[in-house]
Amino acid sequence: MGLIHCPFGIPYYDCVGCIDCGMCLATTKEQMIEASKIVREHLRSQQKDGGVTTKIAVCGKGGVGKSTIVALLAEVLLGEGYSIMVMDTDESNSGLTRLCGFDGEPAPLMDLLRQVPQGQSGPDVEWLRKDRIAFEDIPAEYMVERGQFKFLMVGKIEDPFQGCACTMADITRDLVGRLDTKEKEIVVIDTEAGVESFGRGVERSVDTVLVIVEPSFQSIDLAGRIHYMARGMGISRVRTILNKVASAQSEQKMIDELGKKEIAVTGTIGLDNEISEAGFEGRALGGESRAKNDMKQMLKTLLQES
Amino acid sequence: MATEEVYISLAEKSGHADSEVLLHILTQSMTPDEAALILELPATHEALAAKLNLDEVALQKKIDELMSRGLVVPSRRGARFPNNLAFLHEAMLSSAPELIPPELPGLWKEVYRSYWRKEIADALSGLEIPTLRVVPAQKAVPSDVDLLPWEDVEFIVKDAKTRAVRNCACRVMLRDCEAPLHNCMQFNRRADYALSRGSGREVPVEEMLSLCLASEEEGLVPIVGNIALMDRMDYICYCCSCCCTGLEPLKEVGNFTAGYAKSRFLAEVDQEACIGCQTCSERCHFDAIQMEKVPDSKKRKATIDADKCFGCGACVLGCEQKALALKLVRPPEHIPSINAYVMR
Repeated sequence: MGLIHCPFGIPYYDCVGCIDCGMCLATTKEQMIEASKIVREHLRSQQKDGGVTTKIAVCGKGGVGKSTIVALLAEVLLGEGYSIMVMDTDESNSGLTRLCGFDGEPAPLMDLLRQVPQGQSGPDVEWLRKDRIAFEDIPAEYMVERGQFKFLMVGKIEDPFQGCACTMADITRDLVGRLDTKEKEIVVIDTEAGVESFGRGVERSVDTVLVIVEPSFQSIDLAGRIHYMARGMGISRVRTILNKVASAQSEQKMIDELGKKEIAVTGTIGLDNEISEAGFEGRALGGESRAKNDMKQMLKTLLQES
Repeated sequence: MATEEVYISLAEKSGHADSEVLLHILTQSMTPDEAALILELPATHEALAAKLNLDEVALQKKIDELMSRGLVVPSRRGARFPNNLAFLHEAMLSSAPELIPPELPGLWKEVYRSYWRKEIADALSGLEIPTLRVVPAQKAVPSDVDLLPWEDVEFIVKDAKTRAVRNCACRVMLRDCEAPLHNCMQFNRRADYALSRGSGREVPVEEMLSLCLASEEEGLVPIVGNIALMDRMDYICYCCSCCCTGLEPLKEVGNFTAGYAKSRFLAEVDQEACIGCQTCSERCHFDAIQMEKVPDSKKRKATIDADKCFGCGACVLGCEQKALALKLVRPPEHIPSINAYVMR
């Protein structure tokens, strides 16, 4: 069992990873309290450093507006000079391509991904085997693009741990993990609603989780769960934004409720008729809109390292 | 330095210079020259080689050998003598069996019984948050429950980068039951350490999962670190409350909750299906099952004490009548996230 007192589970005192808190050597309550202080300080300092944002998983309950947020975020990032790759992992929602302003859909990657563990080789799967996959490596048929905006459709991630040892979830996580981003390249992933996907796939290889919360207790509750899961899976940067907020009152209420769960809100996207209409009609959000401005405001905080 | 003094100095490092038995352990496990070398650690190889007039290559070989016998452990500053009993015990007794002097387990048992177990009970009672947590046996988990990654034995095993199995140092020492020895699961950094010193063997996913299932069938309790962080899921212990140096001291004082957090589950019994065979009661390591008289039956039926049950599922797996089941009773937040350490 080894170091049963170590909050970091370090096998032995002074081993790699040891922070010299003294917890394992403490024999009195006072010593343990001192040690806890050092542990807390260390954890607090750890939380500040998330590194550069390169891969964002956008999460939230179904219907909360993930696709809209993804489309908005992509637009705003493009406006700031970023190159974007959007990955759609939600098979049931084909509206994302249209919201992003594309006419057609790319071939889903899932079929290709399925071939890899079966040992298929050939030029069309070669790029999948690379240690680091650059944006340019991905064949055109699996992408639709417009300028610096690339769009991939992964297809539905099925239940993991079924069938072969190398599961769909493993492959997708693996793929996202190996995607190489150069400076000012960002990957935005629209994930399925629900926290189950956390333990099972894509989120593990991202560095940022963006939680979308709408005015409902269920949505707020889920936000708490997503933070808990993201933290547990080792993702240090989790940002929360409010969507479809009708009034300042409503916004404050949500901020208070989330505050009770120790969740800070990065920004708010107001209820915007223009967005609702665009979504309803299945077209892109053209030009300026209040929502786009809201997103621009919070972009800096969304991406910042601490 | 006189022969005895070398050993006394080492015993001092573990905080028990006055323990005859500990001195005996040290004299049995290393030569005076080895003890003298160990006393100099941690030190650079150059300094050591010069001081003890040894060849640096021979020195490295020697240290590697001491490492495999559990007499030194790795640290940021190089190999060093483990500086408390828990480390020394685990390092020595989880070593490859052929490297352990035959008298050692018995001597350690004496250390444990005379004073060490009381120290453990005292130390564990002082913790704010238990550092250890029970997780449910895989086959006892209800089919409609989505397990969290850090309570899911299968996920933990599959998510790890490296996997190794080694002997349970506690059971090697106490052997107060028939449970198997070779079932302490190590992952990632812990696995690398076990593999590098030859105390563990690397196993593929399927084999480790079989070993886990077999240990669960035995009724052993799966234990992991009590934190909702995949990074810290670097071991799964399969414990019995007769031999485990964490559980056993607490068993006597009836206070398992001092050192252990419960799983998110609670065992429930269908008393109609129960035939009163007492298998579950015997299997329970937490004394949570009593056989009680019930109306309408001559037989005494299994009754779960909800306060005492840790939700390990050992009883569920042992019941041929399928009269027992686990029920989810605690939310995800029961397992502390790193924020629990920061916020308190």
